[in-house]
Amino acid sequence: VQVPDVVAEGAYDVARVRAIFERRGYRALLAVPLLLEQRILGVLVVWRQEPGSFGDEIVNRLQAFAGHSVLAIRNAQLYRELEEKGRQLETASRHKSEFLANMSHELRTPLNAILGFNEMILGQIYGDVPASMKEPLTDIQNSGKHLLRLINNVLDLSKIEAGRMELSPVEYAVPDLVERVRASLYPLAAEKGLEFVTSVPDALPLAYGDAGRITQCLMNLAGNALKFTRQGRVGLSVELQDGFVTYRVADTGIGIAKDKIDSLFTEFRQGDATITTEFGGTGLGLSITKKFVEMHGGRVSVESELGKGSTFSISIPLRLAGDRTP
Amino acid sequence: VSGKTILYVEDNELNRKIVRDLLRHTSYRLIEALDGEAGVTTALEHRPDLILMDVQLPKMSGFEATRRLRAEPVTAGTPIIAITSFALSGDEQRATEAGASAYLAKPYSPFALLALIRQLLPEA
Repeated sequence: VQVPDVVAEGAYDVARVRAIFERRGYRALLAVPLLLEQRILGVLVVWRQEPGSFGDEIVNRLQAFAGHSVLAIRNAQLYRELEEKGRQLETASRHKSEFLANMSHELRTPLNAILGFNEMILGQIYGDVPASMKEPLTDIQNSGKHLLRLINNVLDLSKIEAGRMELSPVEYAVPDLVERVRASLYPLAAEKGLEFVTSVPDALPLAYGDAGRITQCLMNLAGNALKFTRQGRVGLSVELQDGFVTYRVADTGIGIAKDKIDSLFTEFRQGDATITTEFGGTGLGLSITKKFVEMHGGRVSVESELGKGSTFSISIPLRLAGDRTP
Repeated sequence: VSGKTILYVEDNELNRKIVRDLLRHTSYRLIEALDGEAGVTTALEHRPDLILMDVQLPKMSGFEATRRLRAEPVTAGTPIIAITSFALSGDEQRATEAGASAYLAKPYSPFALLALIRQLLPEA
Protein backbone atom coordinates (compact mmCIF):
# COMPACT_ATOMS: atom_id res chain seq x y z
CA VAL A 1 0.00 0.00 0.00
CA GLN A 2 1.33 3.42 -0.91
CA VAL A 3 0.17 6.81 0.26
CA PRO A 4 2.07 9.46 -1.81
CA ASP A 5 0.89 12.34 0.40
CA VAL A 6 -0.73 11.80 3.75
CA VAL A 7 -1.82 15.46 3.93
CA ALA A 8 -3.87 15.20 0.73
CA GLU A 9 -7.55 15.25 1.41
CA GLY A 10 -9.10 11.85 2.14
CA ALA A 11 -5.70 10.15 2.06
CA TYR A 12 -5.48 9.20 5.70
CA ASP A 13 -8.51 9.48 7.92
CA VAL A 14 -7.38 8.18 11.26
CA ALA A 15 -6.87 11.36 13.22
CA ARG A 16 -4.54 9.87 15.84
CA VAL A 17 -2.18 8.52 13.18
CA ARG A 18 -2.38 11.70 11.15
CA ALA A 19 -1.35 13.69 14.20
CA ILE A 20 1.86 11.66 14.52
CA PHE A 21 2.67 12.12 10.85
CA GLU A 22 2.18 15.84 11.08
CA ARG A 23 4.23 16.23 14.24
CA ARG A 24 7.19 14.39 12.71
CA GLY A 25 6.73 15.99 9.31
CA TYR A 26 6.12 12.71 7.42
CA ARG A 27 4.33 12.99 4.10
CA ALA A 28 4.65 9.76 2.16
CA LEU A 29 4.10 6.20 3.41
CA LEU A 30 4.85 2.73 2.04
CA ALA A 31 3.39 -0.34 3.87
CA VAL A 32 4.11 -3.99 3.02
CA PRO A 33 2.09 -6.64 4.85
CA LEU A 34 3.86 -9.66 6.39
CA LEU A 35 1.63 -12.39 4.98
CA LEU A 36 1.77 -16.03 5.94
CA GLU A 37 -0.82 -18.25 4.29
CA GLN A 38 -3.44 -15.46 4.10
CA ARG A 39 -2.77 -14.45 7.67
CA ILE A 40 -1.28 -11.06 8.46
CA LEU A 41 1.58 -11.42 10.96
CA GLY A 42 2.45 -7.75 10.84
CA VAL A 43 3.27 -4.82 8.57
CA LEU A 44 6.55 -3.21 7.49
CA VAL A 45 6.08 0.57 7.18
CA VAL A 46 8.46 3.14 5.72
CA TRP A 47 7.83 6.90 6.08
CA ARG A 48 9.35 9.76 4.18
CA GLN A 49 9.23 13.49 4.80
CA GLU A 50 8.95 14.27 1.06
CA PRO A 51 5.61 13.59 -0.59
CA GLY A 52 5.43 11.37 -3.70
CA SER A 53 5.41 7.71 -4.75
CA PHE A 54 8.14 5.26 -3.75
CA GLY A 55 10.26 3.88 -6.60
CA ASP A 56 9.89 0.27 -7.81
CA GLU A 57 13.32 -0.65 -6.52
CA ILE A 58 12.44 0.38 -2.99
CA VAL A 59 9.07 -1.39 -3.18
CA ASN A 60 10.73 -4.60 -4.44
CA ARG A 61 13.36 -4.49 -1.77
CA LEU A 62 10.86 -3.93 0.96
CA GLN A 63 8.74 -6.79 -0.36
CA ALA A 64 11.75 -9.11 -0.39
CA PHE A 65 12.62 -7.98 3.11
CA ALA A 66 9.03 -8.65 4.22
CA GLY A 67 9.26 -12.18 2.75
CA HIS A 68 12.42 -12.92 4.75
CA SER A 69 10.89 -11.46 7.90
CA VAL A 70 7.85 -13.74 7.58
CA LEU A 71 10.13 -16.79 7.37
CA ALA A 72 12.20 -15.65 10.34
CA ILE A 73 9.11 -15.03 12.47
CA ARG A 74 7.63 -18.37 11.42
CA ASN A 75 10.85 -20.20 12.29
CA ALA A 76 11.01 -18.55 15.68
CA GLN A 77 7.40 -19.56 16.36
CA LEU A 78 8.03 -23.16 15.26
CA TYR A 79 11.13 -23.30 17.41
CA ARG A 80 9.20 -22.12 20.44
CA GLU A 81 6.42 -24.66 19.77
CA LEU A 82 9.03 -27.39 19.45
CA GLU A 83 10.60 -26.41 22.75
CA GLU A 84 7.22 -26.47 24.42
CA LYS A 85 6.43 -29.91 22.94
CA GLY A 86 9.81 -31.17 24.14
CA ARG A 87 9.04 -30.00 27.67
CA GLN A 88 5.61 -31.66 27.55
CA LEU A 89 7.16 -34.92 26.35
CA GLU A 90 9.75 -34.81 29.09
CA THR A 91 7.04 -34.33 31.71
CA ALA A 92 4.94 -37.13 30.21
CA SER A 93 7.93 -39.46 30.18
CA ARG A 94 8.74 -38.63 33.80
CA HIS A 95 5.12 -39.28 34.80
CA LYS A 96 5.24 -42.62 32.99
CA SER A 97 8.41 -43.64 34.81
CA GLU A 98 7.00 -42.58 38.18
CA PHE A 99 3.75 -44.40 37.45
CA LEU A 100 5.64 -47.57 36.57
CA ALA A 101 7.78 -47.34 39.69
CA ASN A 102 4.75 -46.87 41.98
CA MET A 103 2.69 -49.45 40.16
CA SER A 104 5.32 -52.15 40.31
CA HIS A 105 5.77 -51.48 44.02
CA GLU A 106 2.01 -51.79 44.58
CA LEU A 107 1.95 -55.03 42.56
CA ARG A 108 4.65 -56.58 44.70
CA THR A 109 2.80 -56.17 47.99
CA PRO A 110 -0.01 -58.65 47.24
CA LEU A 111 2.45 -60.89 45.44
CA ASN A 112 4.47 -61.04 48.63
CA ALA A 113 1.41 -62.45 50.41
CA ILE A 114 0.67 -64.97 47.64
CA LEU A 115 4.23 -66.27 47.57
CA GLY A 116 4.58 -66.23 51.35
CA PHE A 117 1.41 -68.17 52.16
CA ASN A 118 1.96 -70.60 49.31
CA GLU A 119 5.48 -71.33 50.49
CA MET A 120 4.20 -71.98 54.01
CA ILE A 121 1.49 -74.31 52.70
CA LEU A 122 4.15 -76.19 50.73
CA GLY A 123 6.33 -76.21 53.85
CA GLN A 124 3.36 -77.91 55.61
CA ILE A 125 3.09 -75.44 58.48
CA TYR A 126 -0.71 -75.59 58.06
CA GLY A 127 -0.71 -79.39 58.10
CA ASP A 128 0.17 -82.25 55.79
CA VAL A 129 -0.06 -81.55 52.07
CA PRO A 130 -1.21 -84.54 50.01
CA ALA A 131 1.38 -85.68 47.47
CA SER A 132 -1.02 -84.90 44.60
CA MET A 133 -1.14 -81.21 45.60
CA LYS A 134 2.59 -80.65 45.74
CA GLU A 135 2.98 -80.23 42.00
CA PRO A 136 0.26 -77.60 41.47
CA LEU A 137 1.44 -75.72 44.57
CA THR A 138 4.97 -75.73 43.16
CA ASP A 139 3.54 -74.43 39.88
CA ILE A 140 1.93 -71.55 41.78
CA GLN A 141 5.25 -70.81 43.45
CA ASN A 142 7.22 -70.84 40.18
CA SER A 143 4.65 -68.72 38.33
CA GLY A 144 4.58 -66.25 41.21
CA LYS A 145 8.34 -65.96 41.14
CA HIS A 146 8.23 -65.49 37.39
CA LEU A 147 5.68 -62.69 37.80
CA LEU A 148 7.89 -61.14 40.45
CA ARG A 149 10.88 -61.14 38.08
CA LEU A 150 8.79 -59.42 35.41
CA ILE A 151 7.60 -56.78 37.86
CA ASN A 152 11.15 -56.26 39.09
CA ASN A 153 12.31 -55.71 35.51
CA VAL A 154 9.66 -53.08 34.92
CA LEU A 155 10.58 -51.43 38.23
CA ASP A 156 14.27 -51.42 37.33
CA LEU A 157 13.66 -50.00 33.89
CA SER A 158 11.44 -47.22 35.21
CA LYS A 159 14.05 -46.34 37.81
CA ILE A 160 16.80 -46.27 35.20
CA GLU A 161 14.66 -44.03 32.97
CA ALA A 162 13.79 -41.73 35.84
CA GLY A 163 17.49 -41.46 36.65
CA ARG A 164 16.88 -42.91 40.09
CA MET A 165 18.96 -46.05 39.68
CA GLU A 166 22.20 -46.11 41.62
CA LEU A 167 24.76 -48.85 41.92
CA SER A 168 25.56 -50.31 45.35
CA PRO A 169 29.16 -51.40 44.90
CA VAL A 170 30.71 -54.01 47.18
CA GLU A 171 33.75 -56.26 47.14
CA TYR A 172 32.82 -59.64 45.68
CA ALA A 173 34.39 -62.83 44.40
CA VAL A 174 33.57 -63.60 40.76
CA PRO A 175 33.41 -67.40 41.34
CA ASP A 176 30.76 -66.91 44.10
CA LEU A 177 28.64 -64.86 41.75
CA VAL A 178 28.90 -67.43 38.93
CA GLU A 179 28.05 -70.21 41.38
CA ARG A 180 24.94 -68.34 42.49
CA VAL A 181 23.78 -68.10 38.87
CA ARG A 182 24.57 -71.78 38.27
CA ALA A 183 22.71 -72.91 41.38
CA SER A 184 19.63 -70.81 40.52
CA LEU A 185 19.37 -71.90 36.91
CA TYR A 186 20.57 -75.49 37.17
CA PRO A 187 17.04 -76.84 37.91
CA LEU A 188 15.67 -75.17 34.77
CA ALA A 189 18.46 -76.66 32.65
CA ALA A 190 17.94 -80.11 34.13
CA GLU A 191 14.21 -79.90 33.50
CA LYS A 192 14.82 -79.18 29.79
CA GLY A 193 17.53 -81.86 29.53
CA LEU A 194 20.19 -79.24 28.73
CA GLU A 195 23.80 -79.24 29.81
CA PHE A 196 24.66 -76.13 31.84
CA VAL A 197 28.37 -75.71 32.51
CA THR A 198 30.33 -72.86 34.06
CA SER A 199 34.05 -72.25 33.96
CA VAL A 200 35.99 -69.69 35.98
CA PRO A 201 39.79 -69.28 35.97
CA ASP A 202 41.67 -69.96 39.20
CA ALA A 203 43.03 -67.21 41.40
CA LEU A 204 40.91 -64.28 40.22
CA PRO A 205 41.48 -61.15 42.32
CA LEU A 206 38.53 -59.74 44.29
CA ALA A 207 36.19 -57.61 42.18
CA TYR A 208 34.43 -54.38 43.15
CA GLY A 209 31.03 -53.46 41.76
CA ASP A 210 27.28 -53.95 42.25
CA ALA A 211 27.37 -57.73 42.66
CA GLY A 212 23.57 -57.95 42.87
CA ARG A 213 23.08 -56.15 39.56
CA ILE A 214 25.84 -58.13 37.82
CA THR A 215 24.24 -61.35 39.05
CA GLN A 216 20.93 -60.07 37.66
CA CYS A 217 22.58 -59.43 34.26
CA LEU A 218 24.05 -62.94 34.17
CA MET A 219 20.71 -64.43 35.24
CA ASN A 220 19.09 -62.57 32.34
CA LEU A 221 21.65 -63.77 29.80
CA ALA A 222 21.86 -67.36 31.02
CA GLY A 223 18.08 -67.48 31.56
CA ASN A 224 17.56 -66.34 27.94
CA ALA A 225 20.08 -68.89 26.68
CA LEU A 226 18.24 -71.71 28.48
CA LYS A 227 14.91 -70.40 27.27
CA PHE A 228 15.88 -70.24 23.60
CA THR A 229 17.76 -73.54 23.50
CA ARG A 230 15.81 -76.72 22.83
CA GLN A 231 18.74 -79.12 22.93
CA GLY A 232 22.44 -79.08 23.55
CA ARG A 233 24.23 -76.92 26.05
CA VAL A 234 24.56 -73.53 27.65
CA GLY A 235 27.97 -72.44 28.89
CA LEU A 236 28.96 -69.55 31.15
CA SER A 237 32.67 -68.78 31.09
CA VAL A 238 34.77 -66.02 32.62
CA GLU A 239 37.96 -64.38 31.42
CA LEU A 240 40.06 -61.60 32.92
CA GLN A 241 41.98 -59.35 30.53
CA ASP A 242 43.40 -55.84 30.91
CA GLY A 243 41.41 -55.15 34.06
CA PHE A 244 38.12 -56.22 32.46
CA VAL A 245 36.14 -59.33 33.39
CA THR A 246 34.34 -60.82 30.42
CA TYR A 247 31.41 -63.12 31.11
CA ARG A 248 30.50 -65.15 28.05
CA VAL A 249 27.16 -66.98 27.79
CA ALA A 250 27.13 -69.35 24.81
CA ASP A 251 24.20 -71.52 23.75
CA THR A 252 23.28 -73.95 20.99
CA GLY A 253 19.84 -72.41 20.62
CA ILE A 254 17.72 -70.93 17.84
CA GLY A 255 20.13 -68.06 17.08
CA ILE A 256 19.27 -64.54 15.93
CA ALA A 257 19.08 -63.16 12.38
CA LYS A 258 21.75 -60.53 11.59
CA ASP A 259 19.26 -57.74 10.96
CA LYS A 260 17.56 -58.34 14.31
CA ILE A 261 20.68 -58.13 16.46
CA ASP A 262 20.75 -54.33 16.68
CA SER A 263 17.24 -53.98 18.09
CA LEU A 264 17.76 -56.73 20.68
CA PHE A 265 18.79 -54.29 23.38
CA THR A 266 15.82 -51.97 22.86
CA GLU A 267 13.16 -52.34 25.52
CA PHE A 268 10.07 -54.36 24.64
CA ARG A 269 11.75 -55.71 21.50
CA GLN A 270 12.54 -59.32 20.90
CA GLY A 271 14.20 -60.80 17.82
CA ASP A 272 10.89 -61.60 16.21
CA ALA A 273 7.19 -61.24 17.08
CA THR A 274 6.71 -64.99 16.63
CA ILE A 275 9.35 -65.48 19.35
CA THR A 276 7.16 -63.66 21.84
CA THR A 277 4.33 -66.02 20.98
CA GLU A 278 6.40 -69.16 21.34
CA PHE A 279 8.77 -68.29 24.15
CA GLY A 280 7.04 -65.46 26.01
CA GLY A 281 8.97 -62.74 27.82
CA THR A 282 8.73 -58.97 27.82
CA GLY A 283 11.92 -58.07 26.01
CA LEU A 284 13.12 -56.10 29.03
CA GLY A 285 15.95 -58.33 30.26
CA LEU A 286 18.53 -57.39 27.64
CA SER A 287 17.85 -53.68 27.72
CA ILE A 288 18.20 -53.66 31.51
CA THR A 289 21.34 -55.77 31.29
CA LYS A 290 22.89 -53.32 28.83
CA LYS A 291 22.08 -50.37 31.07
CA PHE A 292 23.55 -51.98 34.20
CA VAL A 293 26.69 -52.97 32.29
CA GLU A 294 27.08 -49.43 30.95
CA MET A 295 26.58 -47.99 34.44
CA HIS A 296 29.63 -50.08 35.41
CA GLY A 297 31.59 -48.63 32.48
CA GLY A 298 31.44 -51.89 30.55
CA ARG A 299 29.86 -53.07 27.32
CA VAL A 300 27.76 -55.88 25.91
CA SER A 301 28.26 -57.71 22.64
CA VAL A 302 26.58 -60.53 20.79
CA GLU A 303 27.53 -62.99 18.08
CA SER A 304 24.91 -65.25 16.62
CA GLU A 305 24.07 -67.51 13.75
CA LEU A 306 20.50 -68.48 12.96
CA GLY A 307 19.88 -72.10 13.91
CA LYS A 308 23.37 -72.55 15.39
CA GLY A 309 23.26 -70.57 18.61
CA SER A 310 24.25 -67.28 20.19
CA THR A 311 27.01 -65.94 22.40
CA PHE A 312 26.30 -62.92 24.57
CA SER A 313 29.24 -61.30 26.32
CA ILE A 314 29.47 -58.60 28.94
CA SER A 315 32.77 -56.97 29.81
CA ILE A 316 32.97 -54.93 32.97
CA PRO A 317 35.91 -53.44 34.82
CA LEU A 318 37.17 -55.79 37.54
CA ARG A 319 37.05 -52.80 39.83
CA LEU A 320 34.40 -50.15 39.30
CA ALA A 321 35.71 -46.60 38.86
CA GLY A 322 35.37 -44.60 42.06
CA ASP A 323 36.62 -47.58 44.02
CA ARG A 324 37.13 -46.32 47.57
CA THR A 325 38.85 -49.40 48.94
CA PRO A 326 42.67 -49.64 48.85
CA VAL B 1 6.13 -71.61 77.80
CA SER B 2 8.44 -68.65 78.30
CA GLY B 3 9.79 -68.30 74.78
CA LYS B 4 11.86 -65.43 73.48
CA THR B 5 9.90 -62.40 72.31
CA ILE B 6 9.94 -60.99 68.80
CA LEU B 7 8.43 -57.63 67.88
CA TYR B 8 7.23 -57.23 64.29
CA VAL B 9 6.66 -53.64 63.15
CA GLU B 10 4.60 -53.74 59.93
CA ASP B 11 1.49 -51.92 58.69
CA ASN B 12 0.29 -54.57 56.23
CA GLU B 13 -2.08 -57.07 57.89
CA LEU B 14 -1.31 -59.95 55.52
CA ASN B 15 2.41 -59.60 56.06
CA ARG B 16 1.83 -59.70 59.83
CA LYS B 17 -0.34 -62.80 59.39
CA ILE B 18 2.45 -64.55 57.47
CA VAL B 19 4.88 -64.03 60.34
CA ARG B 20 2.19 -64.91 62.91
CA ASP B 21 1.52 -68.23 61.14
CA LEU B 22 5.21 -68.84 60.61
CA LEU B 23 6.09 -68.43 64.29
CA ARG B 24 3.02 -70.27 65.64
CA HIS B 25 4.83 -73.61 65.63
CA THR B 26 8.01 -72.26 67.15
CA SER B 27 8.70 -71.29 70.76
CA TYR B 28 8.99 -67.60 69.84
CA ARG B 29 6.37 -65.24 71.21
CA LEU B 30 5.22 -62.55 68.76
CA ILE B 31 4.09 -59.02 69.53
CA GLU B 32 3.13 -56.53 66.84
CA ALA B 33 3.17 -52.80 66.14
CA LEU B 34 1.55 -51.08 63.16
CA ASP B 35 3.69 -48.00 62.61
CA GLY B 36 7.14 -46.61 63.34
CA GLU B 37 6.15 -44.59 66.44
CA ALA B 38 4.25 -47.51 67.99
CA GLY B 39 7.23 -49.69 67.11
CA VAL B 40 9.55 -47.55 69.23
CA THR B 41 7.20 -47.30 72.24
CA THR B 42 6.32 -51.02 72.15
CA ALA B 43 10.01 -51.95 71.93
CA LEU B 44 10.92 -49.72 74.89
CA GLU B 45 8.03 -51.03 76.97
CA HIS B 46 8.28 -54.78 76.21
CA ARG B 47 12.01 -55.04 75.50
CA PRO B 48 11.75 -57.82 72.88
CA ASP B 49 14.69 -60.15 72.21
CA LEU B 50 14.57 -59.38 68.47
CA ILE B 51 12.82 -56.82 66.26
CA LEU B 52 11.61 -57.25 62.67
CA MET B 53 11.35 -53.75 61.24
CA ASP B 54 9.69 -52.95 57.94
CA VAL B 55 11.40 -49.87 56.49
CA GLN B 56 8.34 -48.30 54.89
CA LEU B 57 5.94 -47.48 57.69
CA PRO B 58 3.34 -44.83 58.46
CA LYS B 59 4.16 -42.01 60.91
CA MET B 60 7.86 -42.84 61.19
CA SER B 61 10.04 -44.80 58.77
CA GLY B 62 11.68 -48.02 59.85
CA PHE B 63 15.08 -46.39 59.37
CA GLU B 64 14.21 -43.61 61.81
CA ALA B 65 12.64 -46.04 64.31
CA THR B 66 15.81 -48.16 64.14
CA ARG B 67 18.00 -45.11 64.78
CA ARG B 68 15.91 -44.13 67.83
CA LEU B 69 16.01 -47.64 69.27
CA ARG B 70 19.79 -47.74 68.82
CA ALA B 71 20.04 -44.52 70.85
CA GLU B 72 18.14 -46.04 73.82
CA PRO B 73 20.26 -48.09 76.26
CA VAL B 74 17.61 -50.82 76.71
CA THR B 75 17.33 -51.55 72.96
CA ALA B 76 20.80 -50.50 71.79
CA GLY B 77 21.94 -54.12 71.56
CA THR B 78 18.69 -55.79 70.43
CA PRO B 79 19.05 -57.56 67.05
CA ILE B 80 16.99 -55.68 64.43
CA ILE B 81 16.20 -57.25 61.05
CA ALA B 82 15.24 -54.54 58.56
CA ILE B 83 12.72 -55.61 55.93
CA THR B 84 13.47 -53.49 52.89
CA SER B 85 10.49 -53.01 50.67
CA PHE B 86 11.60 -51.34 47.47
CA ALA B 87 14.51 -53.66 46.83
CA LEU B 88 15.89 -50.27 46.02
CA SER B 89 19.63 -50.12 45.61
CA GLY B 90 20.77 -48.26 48.67
CA ASP B 91 18.00 -49.45 51.01
CA GLU B 92 20.31 -52.08 52.47
CA GLN B 93 22.96 -49.47 53.05
CA ARG B 94 20.49 -47.09 54.69
CA ALA B 95 19.25 -49.91 56.92
CA THR B 96 22.80 -50.78 57.98
CA GLU B 97 23.64 -47.12 58.60
CA ALA B 98 20.52 -46.76 60.77
CA GLY B 99 21.86 -49.62 62.91
CA ALA B 100 20.02 -52.71 61.66
CA SER B 101 21.80 -56.01 62.37
CA ALA B 102 20.62 -57.65 59.15
CA TYR B 103 18.21 -57.02 56.31
CA LEU B 104 15.92 -59.01 54.08
CA ALA B 105 14.37 -57.72 50.86
CA LYS B 106 10.65 -58.03 50.27
CA PRO B 107 9.13 -60.21 48.96
CA TYR B 108 11.00 -62.55 51.24
CA SER B 109 10.69 -66.28 51.70
CA PRO B 110 9.10 -66.96 55.14
CA PHE B 111 11.50 -69.84 55.73
CA ALA B 112 14.48 -67.65 54.83
CA LEU B 113 13.20 -65.15 57.42
CA LEU B 114 12.83 -67.91 60.02
CA ALA B 115 16.38 -69.09 59.31
CA LEU B 116 17.66 -65.53 59.77
CA ILE B 117 15.73 -65.15 63.04
CA ARG B 118 17.15 -68.43 64.35
CA GLN B 119 20.64 -67.35 63.39
CA LEU B 120 20.40 -64.08 65.32
CA LEU B 121 18.28 -65.43 68.19
CA PRO B 122 18.58 -69.21 68.73
CA GLU B 123 15.31 -70.72 69.94
CA ALA B 124 16.62 -72.89 72.75
